[in-house]
Amino acid sequence: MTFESSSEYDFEISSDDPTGYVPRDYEEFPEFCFFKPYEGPVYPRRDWVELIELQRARYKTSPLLVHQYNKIEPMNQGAFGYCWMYSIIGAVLNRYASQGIDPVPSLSAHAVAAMHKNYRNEGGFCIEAAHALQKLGAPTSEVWPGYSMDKRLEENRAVVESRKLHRLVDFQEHARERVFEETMSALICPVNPSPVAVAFSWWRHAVAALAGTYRKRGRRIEFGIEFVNSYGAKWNGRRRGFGTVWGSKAVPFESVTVRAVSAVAEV
Amino acid sequence: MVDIRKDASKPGNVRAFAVIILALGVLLFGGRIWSRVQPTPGKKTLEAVLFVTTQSMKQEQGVASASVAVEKVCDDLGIERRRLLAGQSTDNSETWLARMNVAGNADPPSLVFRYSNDDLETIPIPLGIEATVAAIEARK
Repeated sequence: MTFESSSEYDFEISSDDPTGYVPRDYEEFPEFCFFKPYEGPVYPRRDWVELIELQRARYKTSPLLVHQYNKIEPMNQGAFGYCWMYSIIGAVLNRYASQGIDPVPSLSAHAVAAMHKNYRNEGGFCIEAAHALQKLGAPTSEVWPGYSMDKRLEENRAVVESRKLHRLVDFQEHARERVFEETMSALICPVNPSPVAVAFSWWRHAVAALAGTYRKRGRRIEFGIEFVNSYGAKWNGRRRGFGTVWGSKAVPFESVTVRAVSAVAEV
Repeated sequence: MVDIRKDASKPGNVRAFAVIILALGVLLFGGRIWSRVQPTPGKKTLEAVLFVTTQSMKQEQGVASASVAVEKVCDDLGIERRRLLAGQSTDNSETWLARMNVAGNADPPSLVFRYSNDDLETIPIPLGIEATVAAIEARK
């Protein structure tokens, strides 16, 4: 096992960590082939520090605060390469919480990925996951236990009913040419801050981005993204499942925002 | 000579006095105590709030609808807080939320209050966290 660390992220990367992000082939799956472009406002960089500070101190609106206030536990993808689906479901759970669903349903990202990949442990990318979620729906982990690869569960009545409930999600995709500007703007937007599923090609991994952040590097400001990972709550020590990437490492290869999820009854 | 009739009549007077005091007490304070135990029929309490948001709403309205600070106030007051985008489906949600959503979609961005007697009240989402908290607390 080897570990990598860098000043551009606040965690160690182990060669044993499961990932699973397959960099999207933009020729085969061009921009906006499944989802419309991001419709929210895009803020200029000169406004970011102020918006981040307002969001933290006065507004208390960042998706990260929503995640923590509602005590949404970081999910765990186990030994499976389904991070691409966990990143999408992580963002969907955050949206449920911001819509006032309390407790947030425990959706099985594993189940959707397994059904979509015909029960093979294979990698994927973010719009693939979002599209599969809209098509298949996500059962809760009460009806789809753990990392089950039991194909028969798909026809189980409780699973079918549960999948129907968690299917209608409104996704918007960020344009490649300004992917970082749009991702940051979605996170720090004061009107409708939104969680974003982001994938990093350098890490071959996808996570749910929940906040924009910044730090001073000499005389310049460096921006970063705070996210919740899918390695469980024990990952990254005191940050308990959360992490931060900075500078060039924070620029996603692919980025999909969750704008709204269907309103469901609390359980 | 000792007047035994006088002594014998004393407990009766005390009892009668106690009964009068008790009756006066019931008349004066009984209503107040009863109203605490038994809520006045028809008195409504705030049970839920729904923010129906739009992309074009003012920044202060967006902040009010999304703030964890407002969510915490609602949690502390025991009020259900929900937030939806205008036009969002409520087919799979609770009946009361669907009713609130219809009311809120009449003129979004709006804040819908639902009371214990099922009455609904709709106002524009107030500008900012403080104004929103005040609007909620005033109706609790």
